[in-house]
Amino acid sequence: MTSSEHVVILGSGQAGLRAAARLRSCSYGGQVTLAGDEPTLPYYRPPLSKDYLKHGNDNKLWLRKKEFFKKQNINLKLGCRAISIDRKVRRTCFDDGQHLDYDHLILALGARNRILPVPGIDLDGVISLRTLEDAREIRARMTHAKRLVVVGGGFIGLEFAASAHKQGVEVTVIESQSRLMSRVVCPAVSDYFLDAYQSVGVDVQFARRVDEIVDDGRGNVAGVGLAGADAIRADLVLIAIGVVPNVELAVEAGLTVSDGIAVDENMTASDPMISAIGDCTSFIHSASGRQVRLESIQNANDQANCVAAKLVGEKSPYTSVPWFWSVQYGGKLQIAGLTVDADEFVRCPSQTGYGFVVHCFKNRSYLGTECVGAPAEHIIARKLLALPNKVTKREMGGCDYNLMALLSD
Amino acid sequence: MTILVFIDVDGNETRVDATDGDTIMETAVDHDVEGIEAECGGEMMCATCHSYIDQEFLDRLPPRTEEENEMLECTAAERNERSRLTCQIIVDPEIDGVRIFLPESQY
Repeated sequence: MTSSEHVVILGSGQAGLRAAARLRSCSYGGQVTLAGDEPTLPYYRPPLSKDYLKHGNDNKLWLRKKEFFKKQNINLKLGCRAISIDRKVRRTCFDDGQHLDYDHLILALGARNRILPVPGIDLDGVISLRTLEDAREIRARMTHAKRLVVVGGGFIGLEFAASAHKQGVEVTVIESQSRLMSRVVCPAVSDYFLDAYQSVGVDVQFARRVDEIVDDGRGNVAGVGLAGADAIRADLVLIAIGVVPNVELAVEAGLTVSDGIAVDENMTASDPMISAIGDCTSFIHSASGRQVRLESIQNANDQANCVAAKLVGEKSPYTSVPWFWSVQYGGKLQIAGLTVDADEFVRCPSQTGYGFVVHCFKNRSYLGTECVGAPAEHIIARKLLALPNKVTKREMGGCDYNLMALLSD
Repeated sequence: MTILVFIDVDGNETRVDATDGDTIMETAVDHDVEGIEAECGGEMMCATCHSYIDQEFLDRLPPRTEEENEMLECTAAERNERSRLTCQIIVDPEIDGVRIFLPESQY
């Protein structure tokens, strides 16, 4: 691309910022504009459910300071929402009446919280957590909150539950499935964390459906009504039931969308002049052949790196090993690989840390490892998964396996 | 304002005027210093912010936590007694002039 060409990035979250930064560090010489509907500098999201709730220091969150953008010649267009993409003339229009013409468009639109469509959902005291603005509001509310109900026992719900509980708030977690984090971890790990929360006095209820948020008569939350069970008193309710990808712009522009903006292994969408990266995309996971949508820092970073490489002429297919982490009561949970389809589990004490690991297999083939309090083994698992030949269950053996030896084979 | 000196494997030096209170990792990332990846943004999950700290300054730093120690076991470049995760080192005037030796690779 020549210096007169223009890459426009829609979305100033993790993926968008990373793409902009990587384009410049790969010496991309064209114009780069990073546009996002949030008014702040791009920021790191994971601390919002954890440390940020304690310290409330915005300056610890910025992914880059504002001098970085000037120095790297990255144009910022913040606090405006893109409302349309005209693919014929390669133009994106914004709600402030402005437009940006692109030679290549990168969609890094992210995801938004799923709404719980029950009566009372708009009452004062019902919150959700995705943005910095949400987190600031939540911090303010937590100073006088006494009883919190968290609807959703996934990563965000549990991290927030731990943060709130540490600040002295009484917490109940409501989960519609039969175990915690059922979408992402194996039963042994769910059980471990359930125990961690219950042992500090967090109430966890399973197989419960919320059918209303109860009004105190003045428009504030008074409690959470459950189908077939007693209502729970609350003055603060967090809805944490997952996210939906922001695909509307892509749908309206006629791009292929399938639970996420469909991209190939080079992040190219169904229009060769448009790429998509991060939480909003769906793609084929190379190791398993499955279509996936990953909600993680790793995926945002690695897909951003992939698109930047493509745009500077160093195309390299996306084959990164997925990995995730969560920090909650019970410690550090790290997942290497996609373990959701596993049909066999081998649980072992950690060989290095204080915790345990669960190796997950499908049809005797290694899918990945869920680690609790075993950070070094997590890193080894990631390396194992990156090997060109799939590791089998027979090679891993029992709990006396030598992971490092497998790596050097 | 504390000066950090990053030295790559070829001996090239990059002097950076760091802000007290930032971590060495944050400073490197902000100033686009190549060689520190910080995949996990400073949450001690990835060991890609590994560097070797000049012996003279090592003792002025708070010691490694058990967690940092564990993560250092899996750095891509070989670990030695001067290895630290730079996301765990906070910049302050005490370490003005610290020499930070970047490893060959973080992967």
